[in-house]
Amino acid sequence: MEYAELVGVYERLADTDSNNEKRDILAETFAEAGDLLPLVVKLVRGRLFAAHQREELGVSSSLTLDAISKSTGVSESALREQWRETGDLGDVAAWAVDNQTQQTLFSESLTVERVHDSIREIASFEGDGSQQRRVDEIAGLLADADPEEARYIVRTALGHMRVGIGEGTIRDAIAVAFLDGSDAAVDAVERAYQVTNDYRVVAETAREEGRDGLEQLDVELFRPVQVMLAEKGESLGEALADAAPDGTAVAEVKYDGARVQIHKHGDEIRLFTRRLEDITEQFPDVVAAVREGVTAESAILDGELVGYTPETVEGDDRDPVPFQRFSQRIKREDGVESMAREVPVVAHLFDCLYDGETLIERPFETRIERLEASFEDVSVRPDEPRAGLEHSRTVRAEVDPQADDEADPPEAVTDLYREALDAGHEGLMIKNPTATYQPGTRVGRMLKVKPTMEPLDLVVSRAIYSEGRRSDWLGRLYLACYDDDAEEFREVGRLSTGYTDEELEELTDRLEELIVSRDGRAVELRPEVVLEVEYEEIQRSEEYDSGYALRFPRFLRRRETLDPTDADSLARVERLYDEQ
Amino acid sequence: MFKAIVRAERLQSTLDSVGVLVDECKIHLDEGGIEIRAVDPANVGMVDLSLDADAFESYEADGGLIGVNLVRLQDIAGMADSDQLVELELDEETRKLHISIDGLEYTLALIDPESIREEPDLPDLDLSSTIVIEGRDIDRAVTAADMVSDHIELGVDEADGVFYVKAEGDTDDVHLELDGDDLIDLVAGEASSLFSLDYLQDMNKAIPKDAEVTMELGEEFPVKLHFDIAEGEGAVTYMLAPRIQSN
Repeated sequence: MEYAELVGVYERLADTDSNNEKRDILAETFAEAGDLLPLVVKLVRGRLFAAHQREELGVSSSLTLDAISKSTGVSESALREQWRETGDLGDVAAWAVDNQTQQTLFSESLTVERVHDSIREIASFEGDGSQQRRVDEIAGLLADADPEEARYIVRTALGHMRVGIGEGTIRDAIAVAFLDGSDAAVDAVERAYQVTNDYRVVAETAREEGRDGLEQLDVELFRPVQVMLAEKGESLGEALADAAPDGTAVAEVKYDGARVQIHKHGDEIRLFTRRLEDITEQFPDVVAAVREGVTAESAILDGELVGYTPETVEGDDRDPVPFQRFSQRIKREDGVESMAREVPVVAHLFDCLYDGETLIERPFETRIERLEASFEDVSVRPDEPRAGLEHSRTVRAEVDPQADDEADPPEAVTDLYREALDAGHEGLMIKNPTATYQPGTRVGRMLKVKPTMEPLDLVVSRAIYSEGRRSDWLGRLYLACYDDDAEEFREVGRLSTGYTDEELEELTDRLEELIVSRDGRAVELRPEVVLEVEYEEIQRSEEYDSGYALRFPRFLRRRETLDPTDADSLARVERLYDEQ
Repeated sequence: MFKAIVRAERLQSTLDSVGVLVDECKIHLDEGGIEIRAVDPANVGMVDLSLDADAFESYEADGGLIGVNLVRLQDIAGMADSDQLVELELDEETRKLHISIDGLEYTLALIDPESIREEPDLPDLDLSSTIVIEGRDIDRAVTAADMVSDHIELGVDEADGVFYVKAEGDTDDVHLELDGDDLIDLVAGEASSLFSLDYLQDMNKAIPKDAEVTMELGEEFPVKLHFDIAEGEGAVTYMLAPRIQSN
């Protein structure tokens, strides 16, 4: 298949805002893809690897600019100029090919296979000279590309297609292309995706074996399942009422760490994050604990990894390390063992998805029993290093389904809640004992309850234009509090979510009036605009001059009535940090 | 089967003339000598090199094909003094190349030739002018042009019978004219093309200063640079695509 043909599909997708039209265009493309179906399914979203495959392309913006310059002869300064104007390197590549100053000796037409194989190969380059080889590989494709092909080659290499295709559109298109497109067909595709996490498998199965085939697809060891997510409960009482329609709820400590999905078969053990990345190498201590404690021959277990201080981890009164410190373990590639001693972890397990047979259709109650049957507690040994393995702290509570939200929750639950907060954890998870495991979705069968922090009013001090769809807007905002003593603003973090397109557009218009200087896509601003921002937590940070950073800040609204000096003070941030 | 002994300097200059364009390449190990043809990733520059069996101190081969990491092989060859002898032997079983330099043994893992991009055929071009020029004159022109610009115009004025080089920068210009007396030979036809100095600089590095270089030029056409290596027992042809002339 010629790459130009696929580019035609991208252009049709980008030209329409209608999801139904997008679905139909994709369905037609899938139906005609033949042997290339798995490739095409991957390429339409620009995802060349499943999330749990560890390869990363390692293609940066500057590397891409190098490649464009090399293949077209257009100077890098001219490319940067275009980039500032359009905000999209794909468009820059198209423009450069159109305006190229360098001829080539030969040119071959591009096929879908060649583009796919070349870009995939980039991930395999390692060591000395690998950056140059990446540049060469992309330059080689661009040398044979027309402007439109160049646009999508670059977008694929960078992983942003900008054609408005989400997972939902792929799902619906598969249902239309190979099944009857009904709601039931869509559900069958959805379920198959949730258990396999791989649309290539789903599309081929739908085509070859229809809906029956899809139903046969199941959870498989070493292919991570999307994790079930919790909804936010407004209060304990409300969460209990929502999660226990039959009068019983399970309350668990909600730990502040990283979700982990443990896959084990015999001696083979792999660990995946909530985003399905493989983190086995980073946690040899957890692997050791699983080897020791998981007695089931094969199992998929769901839990939370929490880092504790080495001094307290072996006692009863453990002190969790700040999330930032723990997260260094996830990113760590060198010195993994010594890091495991410095930040020992405990895996708190709370669910079992597989123990020789799939359990996701079974009620939570049954899954807990199977979880308990599949492992024995392992005590943590930071010196070895070996992680701890234990069941999350859990209580069952009888709830009066008729009681109103204001009624006092059962004492066992409030006790556990207090215990969780005292121990430095986030709060509680409230679960319905009859619920099945629903991968990848937030359904009201599982609610988290935790105290929220008071919002802060903060000033926007600097900003950077977003990438991708929102590239015309200043979507990455640096926030500052006011230091009364020094009469200066001190940055406390960077905001990039929580606004609607409309809000962001309006905000950009206002902020652009305040630009003092520009550096590429970053701008310095006069500190005038005040925003109300919520967040999960305040952390110590050396990155910002206040010495603090907000974790997961979200935009709430603009405070038009506030002057910049009315913003929250550094003293208040310090106090909130101490109190949390 | 492949087994050869070659003077280090000869091996180094052979590898360097390919290494200016690519990081890995295929080497044909023919009975009569080795041959390498490669094009750079952006399809702009190409090299075609041959080195006869006579250029080696000893040479035995029966027509194999290997893929090598050129950067690595250049590093190894660079370990030897220029007049030392380098022994090369291919292990067909393990697909590795054994290299020994005065007792130093190095085993180089080879690359699957299939994974290296296919060698293009030399385009058949009808170029109007042929200029035979000394390597050092090319070096002068390229070095001067590089001071003012990132591209260079090479041309022939048919009426005046001169070969000229022009480079125009934002503020400074470079101009060089060579007539029949300055050149070894000139077959003049109307010719003028613009080239990237990045590429030409790299090629220039591999051209010996005392080499007799045959340059073929046309009107907005690629340029061909041909010269002998290893005292006539080998030859290199470079081909470079032109830049598009802005009007």
